[in-house]
Formats: sequence, C-alpha cells, structure tokens
Amino acid sequence: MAARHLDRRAFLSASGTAFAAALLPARAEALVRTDAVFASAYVDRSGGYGAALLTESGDIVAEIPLPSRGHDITCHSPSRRAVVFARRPGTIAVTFDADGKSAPGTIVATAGRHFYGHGVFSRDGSRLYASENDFENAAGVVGIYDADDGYRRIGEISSGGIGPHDMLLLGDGRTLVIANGGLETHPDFGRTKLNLATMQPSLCFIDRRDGTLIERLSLPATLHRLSIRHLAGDGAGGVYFACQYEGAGHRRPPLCGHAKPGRELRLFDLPEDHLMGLKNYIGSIAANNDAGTVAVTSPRGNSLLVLDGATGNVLSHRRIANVCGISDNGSGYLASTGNGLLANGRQRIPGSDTHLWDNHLVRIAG
Amino acid sequence: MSLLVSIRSLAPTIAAGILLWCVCAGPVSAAENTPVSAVHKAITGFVLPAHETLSQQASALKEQIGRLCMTPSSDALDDVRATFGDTVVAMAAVNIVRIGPVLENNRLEKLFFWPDRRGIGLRQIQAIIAKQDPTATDPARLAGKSVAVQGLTALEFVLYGDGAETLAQIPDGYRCRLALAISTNIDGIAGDLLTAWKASEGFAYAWQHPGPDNAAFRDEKEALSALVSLFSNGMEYYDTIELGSFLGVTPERDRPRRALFRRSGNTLRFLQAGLKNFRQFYEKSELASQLPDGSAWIDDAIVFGFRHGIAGIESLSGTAAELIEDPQQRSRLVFVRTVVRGLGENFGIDMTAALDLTANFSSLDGD
Repeated sequence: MAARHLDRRAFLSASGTAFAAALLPARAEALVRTDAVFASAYVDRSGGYGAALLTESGDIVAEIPLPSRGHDITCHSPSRRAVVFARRPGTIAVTFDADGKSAPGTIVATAGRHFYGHGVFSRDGSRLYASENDFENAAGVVGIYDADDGYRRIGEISSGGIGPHDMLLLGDGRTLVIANGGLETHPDFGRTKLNLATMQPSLCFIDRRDGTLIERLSLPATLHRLSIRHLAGDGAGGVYFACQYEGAGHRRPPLCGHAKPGRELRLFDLPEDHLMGLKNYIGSIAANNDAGTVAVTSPRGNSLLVLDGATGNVLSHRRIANVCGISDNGSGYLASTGNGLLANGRQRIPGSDTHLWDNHLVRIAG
Repeated sequence: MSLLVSIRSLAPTIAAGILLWCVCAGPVSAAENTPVSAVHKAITGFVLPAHETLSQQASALKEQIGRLCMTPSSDALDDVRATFGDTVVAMAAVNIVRIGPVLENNRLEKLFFWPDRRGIGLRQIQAIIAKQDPTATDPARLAGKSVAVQGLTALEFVLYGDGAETLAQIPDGYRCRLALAISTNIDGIAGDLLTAWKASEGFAYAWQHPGPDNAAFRDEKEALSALVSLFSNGMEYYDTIELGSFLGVTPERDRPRRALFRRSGNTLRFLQAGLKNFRQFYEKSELASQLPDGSAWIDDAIVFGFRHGIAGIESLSGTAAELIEDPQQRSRLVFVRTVVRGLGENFGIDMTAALDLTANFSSLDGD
C-alpha cells in the first residue's frame, strides 16, 4: 500500500527544486520535518477556496487557489500529477504538480457535462478519469483526459448508473470501480435531487479501456434510497464503500460495507449506538490495508469510526466536531475537520486558524 | 435553573430533602416528558393544522370530482377547478414541512411530482389517457404505478390539459374516472400523513422528545436544528427551485413553461401561499424566543424579510408567463428572490450560529 505514495525523500528532493525554493522559510522547514504530505480542499475564513498541501502536523506547504469550492484531489504519485475537482455541479478542475514544478492548469468541463468532484489516474499517469454528469440525459459518464496532452478530453464511457461520485482503479490497472450514487440532479435546479422516489444506486466495475461493464452490484430494493458515494480500495481486488441515506431520518439503514466483483454486496452491521452516531451520513472513507482496518467519518454525527476490514466490527470510536476528511497515515489514520483541526490516532492537532478542511483528505507522499 | 436558585436560598436541611426528592422522583422523568418547546409549538401551531387542511381539501376535491363525473357541466367543472386551486394552496403549507412522514413511502413525490425536468409525469399521464388504461382508474392499482401519475401535478393535466373540456360533457367518462382515481389517491395519502403526524408514538413524539434512545434526535439541539433547517433549506428551495425553475438569471433564461402549476394558473397562488406559510410557521414555533440576548436582531431581520418579501409577492398578479413578461412584475419577482436569499442566510447562518447548532460546510446537503 505504501508503494502508492511517493517516497518522502523523493518528494522532498523534487520539492527542493520547486516548492521549497519558493516557500516561505517556515514552510520549507515544515516540509523537511514531516513524515508525510497530504492534500485537501479548503475554504478560508474570508470565504476563499483552494486546495492545500499540508503536513501531518498541520503546516501548510503549498496552496492552489480555486475559483469555487473544491472537493476531492487525486494524485499520480510517480509523476507528481495532481488534480483537484470542483464540487458538484462545478465545471472546473485544476491540475497541478504536487512538487510545484509548473503552474496550475484548468480543465473546463465539456458542454453538457459537469464534474461530480472525484477522479482517478491510470497507473502510468497518462490518463485521467473523472466522474461527470450528462445532465440533459440524466446519465452518469466517466470523462477521459489525456494527461500527456494538456488534459485534453479524448472521450467518455458510461459510468453504469445515474450520479457517479467517487471512483478508483483496482490493482489490475484496468478495472474502474464507480460509486453511482443514484441521484439525478441538473444544474438548472442546483443540488436538488430530482429522482428520490426512483433512485437506484449501484457499484459498477468497468473496464477503463473500452467501457465494458464488468459487473454491476446493487443494493436490495428496500435500500434503494441508500446512495453509495465513497470508496476505498482493500488492496486485494475489492473495495469498501460508504453511503448516505436519502430516506426518512428516523430510519437507521446500514451505511458501509465491502464489495468485490463476483460477490454480493456485503453491508456491515454496526451496533445501534454507533450507527446513530453517523446520522445516516458518511462523508469519507479510507482504508489502512497494512492494519486491515477501514475508517469512516460523519461530520453530521461528529463521529469517526475505525472498523475491522474483514468483519466490520467497530475497533474504535471518537467524537470529533465536524470531522470529515480521513486518510491512512501509515500507522493509522489522519482526520481533518471543517473547523480546521487535524487528528491522528494519538492526538488532536490544533490546526489552521485560516483553513477549514473540506470533505476529503488525501495522502500524496510519505 | 430556577430550581437551583431556589435551593440556594433555602436552609440546608430542607435543600437536602428537596434534592433527595429530585433524585427519586423528579426531574429525570419530567425532563423526558417535556417536549422541546419550539418543536412542540411548530407541530401543534402549524404542522397539524396544515395537514388537517390538506386532508379536508383533498376529500372535498374527491367528492366534487365524483359529482362532476355523475352530472357533468361547465359549472361543475368550474367548481372542481376552484377546489383544485384551494388544494394546491393547502399543499403549499404541507410542502414546507419536509421532514418525517412525508419522506416515507415516497409520499411527497406521490402527492406532488415536481420538479419534473424531463416531463416524465406529463408523458406518462398523456399515455394513460391516450390508451384509456383501465388499471389507472382503480385507485388501488393507480397507487402501484409511477409516482409521477399519482398526485396533484398529474391531476392538473387531467383537469386542465388538452381534452379537459370533455370533463364538462361526458358522464362517467374515462378522463373523469381517472381524475377521480387520482383525487382518491391524493385524499388517501393526505389522510395517511395526518394520521402519521397524530400518532401518539410517531414521528411527532420523537421530534419533540429527543434523548439517547431516540433514533432520530439524540438531544434538544438536534431537534431544534431540524426545525431551523426546514427554514434554511426551505428558503433555498423556494429561491432556486420554485422561483428558479422559471425565473432565469437573466430574462433570456426565463422559462415560464417550467413554472409549477402554470397549466392551471396557480403558480402565483402557490408561491404566495408558500412564503406566507413560512412566516406563519416561524411565528407559531416562536423560534425568536430561543434567541439569546444580543441576537434579537436576527428576529428583526427575519420579520423584516418576511414583511417585504410577502408584500412583494402579494403585489403581483397573473400567470407565470405574465409574471415574467411584464418587466415591472419581473423586477418585483427578482426582488422577492433577493429577499428570500437573505432570509435563507438569516436562518441558515445567523440563527444557526446564534443557537449554536451544527451547520458545518462539510455536513450540509451531502457529497
């Protein structure tokens, strides 16, 4: 799993020529001290948006300003290519080098499409895949971009359902896993959900090379309002998934589980009190496959749960106000909050006074 | 608080006695049985009456359509259409209570399938009429069909769309029996909603009595937060969907044919009723009394916003098309939109902060 992340020394040496040279002394020093580098979108206290690279102790290494609210960041560590997507229904994604070698660029969604906020690189870093909405036809698509050619859009494939959100690439390098949340939206109607009565969320496994639908996994009909939104790879050909419930607030459906092609979706049966603490809403999910655990966060319930990846048993629970971003940090997890705080397994790190962290935290080096 | 104050002023022995009584018999169960004040007032003062009115209107509509089918006439059709308008107005009040029973069993979508950007409901109800689908005139079987053909938006087409004039002419005709089945379905759902809100152990009780064992509301703040959210989300919905569906950012982007209930000419009545309902909901809940010292300005801002927003929308007249084709009317509608946005911030930001309720930017409407 650690191989996914750029070696810290490599990051530092690269940064030494670019970011670090341009960084304020305090920031450069922070980068030298750190064990790992993370990225997250943020809003600052004056209402400005951006994406930041930060250390585990909360020092900001670099900032990329954004014209509107960002969502997830995806990074191809070997090439340092990174992209931050606008939050849905945004039409902008900003590309940057994680080592700051070149100026950020912009991808503007093609006509009739908007981004959903997530995407993933091919293993060689030459292709970027982004979850998008073909909103006139209420169809989910995956936009394909040539990262070697200025992120030119070279095609699209069906996501296999309505409302694709998070996506990732399995270890085989060809299977995209896409969480089709099932919710129809249209820019003319803002973020209003237009099909709650008929929504059909699914988890689709799709061949990135030709768009072949390898398998579609669905929830039981009684859970058709359980929107599958976020994913974390299990490192063994499967994924953990996390959901947000769009049904009545006093129902308590299961909210997360595990999936693998060729098997039924498996939902984790959490104890009632922990389930209540998630308030029918998981904002982020991350796996620490060395430890065999998976972590989920709920900013509505101010809850962070760490589960046994095999059984779904709750291993630990913490109450952290507005916690949402979550990433493995090698030994365990680093969490970020909408109040600007970071927390790892041991302590709460009084983070930034200026940056309020958005939904997702991604480890990009170390 | 007052209990503590009074204890402090008493002789220690008596105080000890009172404390003992408290531990054995008093405040624990009393606290559990005391409903959250603003939620209680919102339910008894607004939610229940709103649902009773909708239920009564829906029954009246069903009966009138029954009479129209037996003895069709222009007058009978006019009566039905007038009652339909009153039912739409009654729906405007239920429409702002988007919590609890209406979110169960797709009730909201069944009552009121909108927005329908792709015209699904229109296509489906036209197909039913064209085929004279016999299963659609049976209310029980209609209830198993697409949610888009079960409610007020479908009934509007039956009563006002192409061919509706036959309702005044053909006794026991297909179209009238379809209208009767839809209105029967609406009446049934409205009745179910009212029953659910009145149920002694139902959602209303849970919302008023938060606690550690309550699946939906663990503490008073969560219950209060859900109430305030109805206003902040409701204002956003009114702005972006109910107005925004037909009132464009610029006149070139206006789309009068998308306006809600435009076919029956009830767009403005629905919008007027909606904003007035929000004010009544706010007043009945007495949310203002929850505001801490120093935050009274928020109530002032809300009262001001409602007064001017309602005055603005009440000064308008005509159909959806007339509202936006007349530049003066359109500019007043834009003014209303501006006021409603301000109200959204008063509830979603100002009041939420003043009451110390959770409203983190990561925790809002899902991503």
